Amino acid sequence: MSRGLAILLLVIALSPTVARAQAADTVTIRVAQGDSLDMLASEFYGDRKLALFIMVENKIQHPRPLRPYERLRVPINREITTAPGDTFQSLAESLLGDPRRSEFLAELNGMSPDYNLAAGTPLILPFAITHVAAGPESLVSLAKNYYDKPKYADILRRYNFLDKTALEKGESILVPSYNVRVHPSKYPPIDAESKARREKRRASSELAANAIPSARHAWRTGDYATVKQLLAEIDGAYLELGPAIEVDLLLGCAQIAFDETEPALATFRHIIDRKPGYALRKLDHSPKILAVWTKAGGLVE
Amino acid sequence: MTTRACWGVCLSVAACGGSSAPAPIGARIGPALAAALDAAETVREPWRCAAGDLAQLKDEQLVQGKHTWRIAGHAMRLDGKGPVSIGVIADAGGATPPTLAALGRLRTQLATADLVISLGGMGTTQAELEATLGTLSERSPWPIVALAGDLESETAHHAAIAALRARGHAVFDGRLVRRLELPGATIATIPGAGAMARLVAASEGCGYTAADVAAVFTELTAAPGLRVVASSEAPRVMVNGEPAGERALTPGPPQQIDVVLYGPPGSAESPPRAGARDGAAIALTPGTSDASTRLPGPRHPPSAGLLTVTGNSWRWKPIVDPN
Repeated sequence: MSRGLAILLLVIALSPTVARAQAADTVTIRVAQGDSLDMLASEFYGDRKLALFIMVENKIQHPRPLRPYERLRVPINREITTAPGDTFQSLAESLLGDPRRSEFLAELNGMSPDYNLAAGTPLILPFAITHVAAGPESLVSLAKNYYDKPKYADILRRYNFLDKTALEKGESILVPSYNVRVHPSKYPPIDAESKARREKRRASSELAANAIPSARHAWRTGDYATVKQLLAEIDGAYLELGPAIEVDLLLGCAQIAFDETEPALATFRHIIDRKPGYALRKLDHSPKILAVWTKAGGLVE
Repeated sequence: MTTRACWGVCLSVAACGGSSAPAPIGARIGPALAAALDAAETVREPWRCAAGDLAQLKDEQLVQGKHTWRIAGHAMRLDGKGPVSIGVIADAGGATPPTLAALGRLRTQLATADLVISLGGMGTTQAELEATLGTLSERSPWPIVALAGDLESETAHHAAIAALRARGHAVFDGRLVRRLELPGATIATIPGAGAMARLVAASEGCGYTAADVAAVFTELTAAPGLRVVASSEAPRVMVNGEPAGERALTPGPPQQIDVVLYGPPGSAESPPRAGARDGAAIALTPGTSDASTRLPGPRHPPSAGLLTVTGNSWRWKPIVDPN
């Protein structure tokens, strides 16, 4: 028995969890007089052809009239707000069940998977529902049924990491909301923490936009104290990559001017963490700055 | 997968592991695991929240408002003489700001109650349940017995009540309080839904079986005074000319129930009524306390109800949010 249990635990640990990795986000509604599945799809997704997502979520096997006051779950995309250090890969791993789904997450948000995300960035998280094949089913037919677009079969294959184009009876597959655009008014309200991150991003961007030109000027005139004063309060994690690097580079250089090596090392490491491989040009900086930069792990070209 | 289902899988597959056959591990365990997982998916059932053999409440005496309640076993008991008023509320549907405001106003209108029963449908998550039940129980002069309905997951419901109790709110789980023994009346609770398909939390929700309900009805029939059932789902009633509700929750001979308080299968509250200990099983609903609207157009105002028991007679008064 104990050997059996040990093997079981090993198999569970190694077994793929694709179908269980991502639960759909849903809102629960009461059916109103006159509602139908098509109308709900139209109300929430702007397209009545997408009613199948609501049917599957509610285990409704055939289209049927809805009963007034019946409760239904409507799967919806969700708005999330990035935290410092989030990447499309880390978000896809924690929220979509696999880092390889980062390309879907990025594409849905109109960015590239390697885009360097600032903290406080709002993103749309797609939902996915689990489809269990009632018999042999091709991905093309599934794509036609769910998306009304047979060519999306390749999306289903890649999202589920399949090396085949059809499912056997009983096999399950995740169907992501690839072309489902949930009406913004249907998103659940964002939580206080997300709100605070968005506000911090807005405030940091505004502060940086005002401070960077003045800090550049102060650096050129040798007024390092002003550089520090202007930039010290700005959290680069909440800025887009370009301004974030400029803030930390100017601040680190000003800290070195005051022989504050340890704070400068920490400041430079922010840059290297945010963009590994970022290199300073040898001719642009003094040997003293380059020495601290190199000690922080930065590259010089 | 629930803990219950997981144990089922573990036991099923472990039972297959005793063989010393030399086949590869994957070949031996894979099919057994798949079969066990499939089986676990199909045998999952909601929590049995109306069974008679559930955990018991910790003995305590609760002083709330002008009353002292004795809590023991599966019962909350209020000694003394009537009349006694029971506030009834249901179906907040979540913690939207308009709904919380409406609950606050309804709480004010329930100020004369000695006890409030929430029939469920108050929220999906722990945060929503803490907000809705917490709004009702904030500095209230009465305890609240909260039944899990079709929205609540058992885990979220339990956690929300524990959190509220820790903050000093007198909120009790209607899954554990199976009987309310009041001067002149006994109220039995039947939380949850009769089918997993009607539970938003599916197998994590609260369910009842026809046998559990029959046992509750039989025990209640023998109780002295008025015999009242408080259930999250409706017995068989007509809503807008259409039959709704569950036959299992509809008392029939030889069961003798006087009043059934139920969660609404429609938005409207029951009109004023009165009755006595006659086994007529009059079905009364507080209507919905949900003030949020999904679609434009007219909506039903949030509502609750007040059942007043005097001797062997009762009177029902609907309460409608004035805003």
